[in-house]
Formats: sequence, structure tokens, C-alpha cells
Amino acid sequence: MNTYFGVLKDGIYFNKIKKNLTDTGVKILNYYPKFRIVKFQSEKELTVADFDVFLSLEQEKEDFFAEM
Amino acid sequence: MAGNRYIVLLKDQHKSSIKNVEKEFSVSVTSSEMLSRDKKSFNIIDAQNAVLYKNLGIVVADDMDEEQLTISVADTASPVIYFEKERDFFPADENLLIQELKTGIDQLKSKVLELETFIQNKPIPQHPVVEMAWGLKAIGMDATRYTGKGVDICILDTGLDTTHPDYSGKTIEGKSFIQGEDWDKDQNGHGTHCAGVACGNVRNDTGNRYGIAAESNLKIGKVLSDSGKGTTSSIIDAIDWAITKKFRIISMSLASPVGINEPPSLLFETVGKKALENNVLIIAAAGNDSNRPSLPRPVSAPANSVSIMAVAAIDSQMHIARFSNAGINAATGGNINVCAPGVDIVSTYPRKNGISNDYKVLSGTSMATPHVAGLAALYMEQFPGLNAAEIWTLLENHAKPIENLKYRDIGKGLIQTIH
Repeated sequence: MNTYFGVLKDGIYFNKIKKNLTDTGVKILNYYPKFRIVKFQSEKELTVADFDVFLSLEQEKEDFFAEM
Repeated sequence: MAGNRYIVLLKDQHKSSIKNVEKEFSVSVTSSEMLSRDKKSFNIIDAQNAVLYKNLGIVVADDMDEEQLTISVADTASPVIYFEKERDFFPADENLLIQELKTGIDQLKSKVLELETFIQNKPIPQHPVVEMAWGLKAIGMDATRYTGKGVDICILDTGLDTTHPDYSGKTIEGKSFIQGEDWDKDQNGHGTHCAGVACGNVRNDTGNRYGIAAESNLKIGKVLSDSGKGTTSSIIDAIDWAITKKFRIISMSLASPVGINEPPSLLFETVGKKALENNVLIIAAAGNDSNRPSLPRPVSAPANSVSIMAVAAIDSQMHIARFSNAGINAATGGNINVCAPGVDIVSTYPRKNGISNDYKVLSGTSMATPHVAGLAALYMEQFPGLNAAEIWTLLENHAKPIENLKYRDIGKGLIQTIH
């Protein structure tokens, strides 16, 4: 499973697209209202072009390190 | 000649002005144009007769009413703008000079004695009574009285060893975003070190000062595992938590390397922007991927986002640290904002194998970042009316450029206290 973070476009509201997103087969993990960011999982390799509601789509990174 | 002769400077030489003088001081004024070999000024000047020196714009008369002169000078309607008594000039006399010198020396002696008494009795100067780590001196900590009192600083890192003597008895709030690992333990040590630089005070063994915002409120978010590794999720969750809690400063001594010309993450750009809108300043390490001088690497994520302050590291010789990343992706964002001490930095550390005391010296842009976080807290105490974005601007505007170091490497320069 891949974890993604999508930044919603202006004028797109999470409550209105939540069902559509789920229908595409993704599993919504969290929504951050302050940031208007949706965190979800999918088995597919996805890009921002696969959605028309996101300004950007980034896959979870696991390479943040303490810098010393 | 009468007792006192006066030199009176006039604003102008209009007829009305001369008449005013004549009226105010009951004198008759003769113009210097009327003087001749047979009619010399000293034959004219007395208490009732004055001479106007046309070229100089001054009137000379004897025994003038000094009180009236003072009133006239103060009165803007009067033509008189200045006056003084005529002075006596004498030829230089060696004995007289020596006598005057002796008098002068006596007066000087009494002044020296007065100064000596003042110095001996003056209050203790406000010099720091403790030694400071080099990094603290470099940012001007010896010249500030601010301690970050009441400002919440949130350290997102490997946690905190709350059993460390420097933190015992302190009320510290925290939360772990790493499954199965507690925020109040720090098996790694990195988080405890960073927390000490930003919020610590003095060593419990030597008394030397190592921390900046000693009276700030320390908040801990554990976003890096005990092995020092973290994910986007842990960091985003922790920032969301910190903003909800209204912590004013988030310090992140963590980084993910990026490639040349790789654009910044829009995700972190959005988060940093929203943090600023919520009055929260996020400060992050520029990263340690460089191997200078030959191979500087670009500023890492998330510091490469323009809404997150990127911090480079310098050493005590004011050289850029060998490992410190640079703003070489500046065209797409990702420049350095400021630099701070990041080489041979002493701070708190958990007692572990091989560590014989509670402190350790570490190097990294990780160590530079909490210097900026701590100083931001001092600024917030000093300027309580400023918001996070304004504090950012203040940090940059008061940073000092370092000779021979480039903007690409240190941004606006070495952060400084304001006093």
C-alpha cells in the first residue's frame, strides 16, 4: 500500500469529494482541515493527474533524518 | 572706560532695528561709517552712546542693562540675537601661564578623585556572571536580558530524556507520533540535545550556560524514532498538533535530502504557510549532505519550502560548516534564510554507555536550528505585539553578514540578539 498526501485545490471541499475519492478505491486515512490536506492509501501508483481535485499529490517519504 | 562694555549682535541693520535698540537701551547709535581719524570709537562709546560696526552687525556700548539684554535675546521681535561682555586679552606671560597650569592641575586632581569615588561606588555592571558556550556568545546572548519567558517552543525530534537533571521539576508537555515509542524518553539523544540548545539554561556541573530561552515553555513532539528516522505522516501530524495547541515556534532539526533542481514540496509549503497564518513560526535544518568545499548540496526538505525558515551552520571561526547545505536550488525555492552556530555545540544528553556526564558536544545543522528557535522566543518576549511572520523578518533583518561568506551559504547571516 502507498500512502499519499493531496493538497486540495481552492474551492474544493473535502466533504463533497470524500465519497468520490472512496469510490475510486482509495482509503482515506485522515483529513487536516487547517491545511486542506487529505491523507489516503492506495494500492495503485498514483499521480496528481489521476485527480482533478488536488493541487499536488505527494507520496509519503520515510527518509527524514536527524541532522547530525 | 566704564565698568562693563557689551558686544551686542543684531539680526539686521534696518533703521527700525537700530531705532529699537536705541529705544530699548536708551543709547544713541553711531554708525562705524561715521568714524574717522578724529572721531574714534573709544571717544564715542559710553553708557549713552553706542557704535554700530556695519561690517560686523554688532553694536558696542558701555554699562548696558544685562537683564534687558537677556529679555531681548529671548524675544524674537527684538533685533538683538546675542550679547556678551567684552573680554580682556593679555599678552602671554610665562609665570602667569605656569600659575594657570597649576590651578588647572588642582582642578583636574579633584575631578579624578570624584571619578575614582564614582567608579568605586557604582553598581555591579550587568556582565554575565557565568561563562557561555561559544554559540551563545556569537549570537549576542551576553548582551540580552530576555529569556523567552512564557513562549512555547515545540521541538519535533527524537523525544526528550525527562529524567535528565536539567529538566527534572519542569512542566513539559509532549506527544509521540511514533508508534510504540514515548515522547518523554530519548534513546537516541538528538532531541534532548536540540531541546537543550533552544530551552536549556546552565550546566549542572560547571555552571556554564548552554541554552538560550531558559524561561520558555518546552514542548516535545516525538516525530523521529529512536533510530533517528521519521516520515511525512509523523511530521505533518505533529505540526497539526502544535498549531492546534497554539505553540508559537516549531523547531525541526530533521531533513530529507533533495536533488539538484528538485522543486520544494507543495505539501510542506502549504503547511508552513498555514502555520504562519496561525501565528506559528516553523524553523528547520538546511541539512548536512554537503562535503565542502568541493561539494555543497541543496537545502533539504522541508527547509527548502519558502514558508519554512532554513538554517545553515557555521563554526566558531565563522566559517561555513563543511556539511552545511546551500541555496543552490534557489530558482525553485530552497535558499538559506539565516545561519547559526552548528559545530561543536554543547548541550544536554541522556546518560548512556560511554557518556560520563549529562552533556555532549555535537555538530550539525540540527544544532544550528534550535539556536534560531531559542532566539525567536527571545524576540517574541521582547516584541509581544509581533506575529510569526514579523518575527521571521526581524530575525533576518538583524542577522549579521559574515565576511567572505556567500548569501547562498548563510542567507542574511548570523542571527543576533537585539539590545
